[in-house]
Amino acid sequence: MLKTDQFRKKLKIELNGDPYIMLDVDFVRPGKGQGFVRTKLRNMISGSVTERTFKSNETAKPAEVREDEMQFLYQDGEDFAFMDNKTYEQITMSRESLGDTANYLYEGITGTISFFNNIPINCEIANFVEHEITDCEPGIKGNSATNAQKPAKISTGFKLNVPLFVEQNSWIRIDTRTGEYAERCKRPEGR
Amino acid sequence: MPTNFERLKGRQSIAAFLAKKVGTVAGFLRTDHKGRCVLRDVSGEMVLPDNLAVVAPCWLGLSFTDDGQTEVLYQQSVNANSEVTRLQADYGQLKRRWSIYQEVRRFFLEQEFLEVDTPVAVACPGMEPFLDSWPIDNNWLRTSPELHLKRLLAGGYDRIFQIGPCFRKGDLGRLHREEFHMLEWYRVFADLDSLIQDIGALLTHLAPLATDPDFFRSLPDLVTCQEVFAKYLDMDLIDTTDKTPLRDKLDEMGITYAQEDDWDTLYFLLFLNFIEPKLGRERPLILCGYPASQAALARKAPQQPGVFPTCFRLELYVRGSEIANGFDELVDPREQRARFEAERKVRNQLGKPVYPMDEPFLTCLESGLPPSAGIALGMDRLVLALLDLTDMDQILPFHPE
Repeated sequence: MLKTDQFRKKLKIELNGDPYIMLDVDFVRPGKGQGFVRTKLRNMISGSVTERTFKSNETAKPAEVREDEMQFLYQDGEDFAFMDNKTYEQITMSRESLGDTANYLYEGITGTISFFNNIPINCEIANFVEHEITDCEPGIKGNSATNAQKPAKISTGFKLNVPLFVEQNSWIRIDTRTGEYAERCKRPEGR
Repeated sequence: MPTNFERLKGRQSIAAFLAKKVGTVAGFLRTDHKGRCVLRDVSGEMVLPDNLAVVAPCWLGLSFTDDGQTEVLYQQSVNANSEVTRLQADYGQLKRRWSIYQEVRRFFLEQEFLEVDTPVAVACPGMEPFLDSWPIDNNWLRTSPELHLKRLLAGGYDRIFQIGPCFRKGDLGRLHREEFHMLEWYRVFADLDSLIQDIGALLTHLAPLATDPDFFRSLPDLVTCQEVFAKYLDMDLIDTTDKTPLRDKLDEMGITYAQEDDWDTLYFLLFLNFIEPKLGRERPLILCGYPASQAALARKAPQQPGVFPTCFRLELYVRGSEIANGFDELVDPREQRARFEAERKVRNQLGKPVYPMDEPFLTCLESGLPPSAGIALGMDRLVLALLDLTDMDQILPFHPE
């Protein structure tokens, strides 16, 4: 069991059967009374964020969360197949448990998959990924100074806004934390 | 090297340098996420030319000539600049912090308070069951100077204040440090009303130093614990023994608690989650009418049937943080002894060191301490509040070791 003085950001604990990751921890002692530890927790399955105040001597159960590096193979309907880079074992994750990450997956991309009680619950990928624009209006030259944007689509079907100068079939880098266009780039090797 | 130090004296801030691009600059050097070398000082930061290679973060002085040449005047050795030795807060914040300290002193001296000192290592560091300290030989580091300050009051001092370090083992958070500076002030023949006036006058006096002066010029709101529970939780505080209404409210709000949690713990679970963050948002707020069970060293209000039992204690809140805790002091030696005995019993049950009865303090009460009011204010938190910051690291030079 973990005592409150061991609480840290990114610590994973189990509450009511669900795994939570600590986003924020702060000690507080009202007046000269008992101490409390305020935490902000994210449910690692649903993604919802809650606040929870523990008494200073309370304990919490550590969540047994395992992380494995895996490669994305293919999509089959709402299921996404991954393979363990070391054991070649294959698993599938649903679009629901992948969340927004499903928008950026391409064949061969490596993700860090978290397992809670051997069930995959989360997939983390790099902050920036490259994708080809598969569908957008023709580019307008000389418009790089304005902030105007137009809608575009990438091969996964994900839609986002890009600057006017971006051409069909050109490659861009996307910030996976926000789902926003970051910059133009070259076609990465082997893709 | 000495000649280089002379040249460094004529350095400009980075902001000033960026306007001219010629002259001497110095600052802390690091690499950013793109791998570029960035020099930073309080005024701003600049990306250095590519031909300057940097191995590790360090303090660097550079000279730029108008023909585009750069010369490294001084580069601190890498070891001296590890993360450990870096100052947490920058110079500007530290300067503002100390001007606040000076103005606090001036405020009390102008009102003819006497600044006093009390021992740091004491036989009884404070009997509160939940406060822990460190032993020093046969003594303990004080958790608060209040018992000694009241001895001075009993000795005939009528207006005193002290700013000094206090120690609370294990208290570490954004608003807590195990060693911190406490301001305490006391008046004899005074009650909570005089503390409320003092707080208002002190905040007005300090307002010009604040990031948002108007906030601190406003007269603090004055509300009772009963009022805030009614306002934010729509519930009546009736007595300090029946746990059922508190448990019901915690259930309703989805907060877990343990069956053995006492009334005060349940109270704080509600208070910390749903009330405290909302206090003092538009202007400073003074919370009073504390439950009698949380009297600490405050006088209890006379009990009346059917009325929520309270004590004469107040706390100052600024933007959700507790800044100060004041009492209409308990001066009855018999009740004081009984409270100490009860607290010693709790300490014993909790397996904590049981401090000796503070007999010199009790003797002073027996000799006749006039009705008095006193308040303890966390100086570091006051500085944070005035500067509209939220973390001790922003105003203290060092992180705890």
